[in-house]
Amino acid sequence: MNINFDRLISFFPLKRNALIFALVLIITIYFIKIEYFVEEATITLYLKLFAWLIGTFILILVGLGFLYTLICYVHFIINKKTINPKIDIGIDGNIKGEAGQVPVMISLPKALLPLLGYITIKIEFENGNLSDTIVINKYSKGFEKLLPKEGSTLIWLPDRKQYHTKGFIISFIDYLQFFRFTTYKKSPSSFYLHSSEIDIPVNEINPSKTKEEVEKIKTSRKVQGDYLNYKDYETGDDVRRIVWKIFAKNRELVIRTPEVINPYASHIKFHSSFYNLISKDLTSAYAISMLNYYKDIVYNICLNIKKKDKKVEFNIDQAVNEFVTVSEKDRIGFQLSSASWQNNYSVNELKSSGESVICVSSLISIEELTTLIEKGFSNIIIVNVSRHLDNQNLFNFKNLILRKDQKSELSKLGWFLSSTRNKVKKNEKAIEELVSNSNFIGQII
Amino acid sequence: MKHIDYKELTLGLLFLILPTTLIMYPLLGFLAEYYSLLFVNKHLLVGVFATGIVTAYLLHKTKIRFLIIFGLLVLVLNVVYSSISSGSFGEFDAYYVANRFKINTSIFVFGWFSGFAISKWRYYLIVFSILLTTISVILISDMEMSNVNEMIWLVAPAVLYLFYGLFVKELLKTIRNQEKTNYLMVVMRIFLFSLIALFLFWGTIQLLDSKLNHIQNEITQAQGEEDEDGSGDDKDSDKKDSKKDKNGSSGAKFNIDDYLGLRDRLKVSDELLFCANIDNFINETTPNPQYITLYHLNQYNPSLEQFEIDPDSLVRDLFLPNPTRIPQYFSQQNDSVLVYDKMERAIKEVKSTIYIAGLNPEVFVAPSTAFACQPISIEEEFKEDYKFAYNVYSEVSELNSAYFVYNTKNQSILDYQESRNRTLRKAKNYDDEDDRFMTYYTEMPEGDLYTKIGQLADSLTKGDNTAIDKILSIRNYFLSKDENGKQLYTYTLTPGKPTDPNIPNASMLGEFLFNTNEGYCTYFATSSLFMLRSLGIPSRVAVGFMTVDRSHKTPGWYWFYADQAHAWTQVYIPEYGWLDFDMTVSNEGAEQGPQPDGTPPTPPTKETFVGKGVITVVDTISKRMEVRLDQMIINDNGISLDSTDIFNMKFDVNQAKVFAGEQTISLANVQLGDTAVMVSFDYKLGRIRKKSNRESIENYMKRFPDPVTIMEVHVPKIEEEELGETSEEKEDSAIKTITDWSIYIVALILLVLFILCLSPICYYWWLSRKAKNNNSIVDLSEVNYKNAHFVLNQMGIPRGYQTPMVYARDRIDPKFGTHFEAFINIYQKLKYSDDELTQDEVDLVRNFHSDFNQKVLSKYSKSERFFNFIKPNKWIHYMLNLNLKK
Repeated sequence: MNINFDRLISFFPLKRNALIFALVLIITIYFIKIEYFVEEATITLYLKLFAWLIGTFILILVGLGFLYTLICYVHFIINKKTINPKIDIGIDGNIKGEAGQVPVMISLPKALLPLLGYITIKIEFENGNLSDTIVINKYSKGFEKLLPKEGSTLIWLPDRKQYHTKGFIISFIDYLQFFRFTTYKKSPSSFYLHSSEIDIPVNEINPSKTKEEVEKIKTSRKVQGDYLNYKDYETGDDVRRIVWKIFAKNRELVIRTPEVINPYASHIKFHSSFYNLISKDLTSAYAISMLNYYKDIVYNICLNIKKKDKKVEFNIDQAVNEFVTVSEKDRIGFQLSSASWQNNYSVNELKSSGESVICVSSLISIEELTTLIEKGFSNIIIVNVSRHLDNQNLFNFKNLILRKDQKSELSKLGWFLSSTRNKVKKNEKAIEELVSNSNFIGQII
Repeated sequence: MKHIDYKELTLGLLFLILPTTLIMYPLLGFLAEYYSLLFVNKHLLVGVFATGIVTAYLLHKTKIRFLIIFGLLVLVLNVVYSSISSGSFGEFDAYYVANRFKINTSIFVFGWFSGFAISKWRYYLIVFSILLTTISVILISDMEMSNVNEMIWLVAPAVLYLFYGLFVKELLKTIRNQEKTNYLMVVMRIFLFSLIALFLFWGTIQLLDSKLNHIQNEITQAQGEEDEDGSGDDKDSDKKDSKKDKNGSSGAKFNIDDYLGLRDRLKVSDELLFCANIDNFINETTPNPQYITLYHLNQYNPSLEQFEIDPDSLVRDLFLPNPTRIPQYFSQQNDSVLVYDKMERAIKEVKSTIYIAGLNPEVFVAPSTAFACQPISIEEEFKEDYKFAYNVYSEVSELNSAYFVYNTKNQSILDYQESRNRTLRKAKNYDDEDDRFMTYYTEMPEGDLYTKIGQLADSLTKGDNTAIDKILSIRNYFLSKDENGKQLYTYTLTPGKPTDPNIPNASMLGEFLFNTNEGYCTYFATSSLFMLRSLGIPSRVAVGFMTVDRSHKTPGWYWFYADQAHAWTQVYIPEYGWLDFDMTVSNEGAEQGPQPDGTPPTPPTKETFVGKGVITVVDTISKRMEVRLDQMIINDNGISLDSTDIFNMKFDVNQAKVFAGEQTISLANVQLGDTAVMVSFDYKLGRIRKKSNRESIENYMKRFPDPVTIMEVHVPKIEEEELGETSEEKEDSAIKTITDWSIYIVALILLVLFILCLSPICYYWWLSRKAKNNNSIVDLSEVNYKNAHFVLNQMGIPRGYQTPMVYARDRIDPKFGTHFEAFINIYQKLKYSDDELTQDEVDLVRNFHSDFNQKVLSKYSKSERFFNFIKPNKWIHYMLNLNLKK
């Protein structure tokens, strides 16, 4: 069993502030003792006076914070059952958001806020990871002003994936951040984060296959009361369509709704493959980063297609964890959030059912791709996933002067020296060669 | 694009960097002073520091890399240095310039580093502020100022900054990731924290007041000693001078607490506290002074080596009135102390007159055993010197005397001492005494030290059979000389702390007896007490004032200065009661008296008539007063009037002075209904005597002139309290007042809370009553409307900002199944239109109250209902929104 140290530490009642404060104080006192308390001098009296004064002051100030925080903590523990933390992610109904800096709002009605202190909450995810700290800092209006209601914070969740929360680690912290009393509140919930919209150049994609799908209205069934394929007659309707049988039966004028014929080759079948043979570790930081990039690209290609008023039937090469039903509009983002790299289901095993587009990453092996091209798929989009990591120019002048934003960027130098980059680059070069030498239809992004 | 957090930057600059710069101000001031030779300007230094810290902070916060920041620093320094060195200076100037540059550079680099580190490392501020506080403390300590309070406030900013920085840094960290920041809230929080910290600091000072005072004393003492060492002049006068300077005119009053325990130093002052005329003489001419007793200390705390007053003392022979509360010329008496003092033989009654100067007049001082106190007036010419005066009557043993250790050549005193010892040798032993009494007064703490003291006492009193001999042996031990002919025991106010580090738990007492042999009165009293008790002689420690007969010009008059405050041993001798045996070796300083004794105040003119009663008429124009008298003193004969005899008497107050307490007030300020004491010194009144004992008071009074001319009117500040039987000990009056206050405050808070909890119930009841008794449909609907809102509010469903209709329709009716919406309809119709109501509607309004309450309240259990009702926060919420609801 692996122990989560972050989690353990957050249950330790003393914060680093307190430890460092105590340490420095002790060192100082020790120093003063050596320096000034060697002989009986007047200055000793003064130092003693100040030691008394400052010592008592520290005790009182820290003690006040401690007690107040403890009271709030105990109050929370007692009322734990009635206090239900509620989590709000992003904008849409708590289940969907854009990856990156995600605005998270957590409300803790009825909890007491330590005097000038903080209540911080960390979300614990199913895989044991902890989120950034969310500070409860908003006060409600009206009489219960002293009771904090919610905290809204941008927390850094960069992965375009599904997040399953296990619970909350709720800490009560005093104003000096010396003490932290922590409790755990189980509260399972799930949400997913999708890519944000970016501009990418996509060639015109057309449905590859013509297929006539005519759905004929079945002849009227004799169903009483259920007029599945009928509608009330309105002025302007074709009189010839009136179903007299029904009129004869119950004196209602209804007409048969027109037959629906699927438009000619209306859907673009879009299949995206997460087949990855290059990365050794499918969950390494670089792999995850490339996965996110790949998802971004796929997501935006689909968005682009959609923008051109074409319908997309989107599929991925793995099962989707349907923890929630999403609308057709969010379908692509949701499916993508569920996907991850896999190395056991080749894109070539795909049963051809008339896919218009097949999207693969540059992590596919060259052999696979060759087979795929030979199969003669009309439209293959290859995403060069190393591009995004390479894009962070190591020798950018700006980077030379400015520090990177915390957390948001991977180490550039590390990437440039890593073997993964070498492998990916090699593969991408081979792909380019292959593409230029074969009758490849599609594009490399 | 790199994300630069401007809000954090600005707030940090304002609330972190600015205070840091300010806090450096005094510190850099010190530095400037230190280098004043170089003409370094303090403002310039602060400017340099500020430039450094602000630039580095800004650079780092705008995400500039570390190397660039320090590269820039080096560059700046280089440029400055080259510009300076390019200028031409004389050789002499060069030294200054180089050194000044060094200082400025160090400050700049320090500032630069701080700005960088504050921004980069979370924990730097802790280190920085602790370091800063330490340096400030050391520097301020080094100034060795004499006023502790001033020093505390000098060091306060640094101490407050210690936590302020910590708080602000953490606060800014938490707002970094916030989507929207309420800046007002952030600023408010910072201010609130500063206020709380400041308040707590102030509170700490108040809390440590006594401790600080103690240290202040030590400091003053230490400085006094230093001055002595430095000058080496005449020891005594120098010491006193220096003390006087430091304490100023307000003066260090004597503090009886100092005499309660064994300390390493004792501070005394030479202020005149009071003077006394003790009418006690051995024969007609030789005065026999008596020690002035304040308290008896019966409890001993061995760990603190301190005495305490035992509130449950067996022997209640202390009479502790508050003289200022006794009406002028009337006496307060407690005869029960005379039973408890256990004196049976050789008793005489001694009258003393005490004139209070520096002492608090509420403190009662008298020779023991006092049983009556009578405040008297002070002659005009002495009023400046003395604030208060009273006569004291004490029961004094003929054998008791302050003469015990003094070396005197007066034959009559020597004879007296000898005869006294002889008498006491014949006294009974302790066999007949009560066991409880004996155990109480011979109790000793356990421990090696006390066993050792017992052994010492045994060895000293070998061969002595009587108590008095044992006492004398112990006294002789303290007075004895060592082999070099030097005094074995010496008196000192600064015995110092136990110095032998080998003795664990070294005690002051052990140190005194077995090592240094130096101490002040409390040391002598404590040691002799335990020696006597180990010998089975009941004894106790008394604190009060040593009476010194310094001059023969005014026999019977004694002056008491603050340094005469004293502690000594009292020994119980059967039948003779408690006698003073002061074992303290002579302290020349105190015996000499810091200043020559003054002239004794002349006794006030004999009052011939004193009347006490309630003022009924005050005529400020013709200066007449009428008082309903209930007590009189005529020619020293007290006359108490029964309720039937009480009569009004007219007084002419043309020449009278009106006193309220110690102050003179005008007649106009006299309140009707107050108790007044009318005093006349008119000798003619003294001639009016009762013709016979049988003459009725009415007839007697008729012979007095009408009106009686009055010289003094005393209106007590405080109403007199029960005369006579008060033997309440009011030692800890200060503590009592504090606890009283806190009790009042707590009671007040509780009362407010109670009212707050009760008022909703009353309100509910009141609304119900109104609903029942109201006939007007408009009023009724108003009451119902209020009632509904009130009940719902208390049950935790306030309307908030919804309209009544929406509130009723969406929240209330579905939840409780009431007809609230229908009612609101009618209510609004009544209020805003002139339409008549239908009968149905009227019925609905009439029945709405009970129906609604019943339906809503039935959803809650009884206890829930009750607790919801009394919740003050809801009630306040309702009250605040009352107008809104209408």
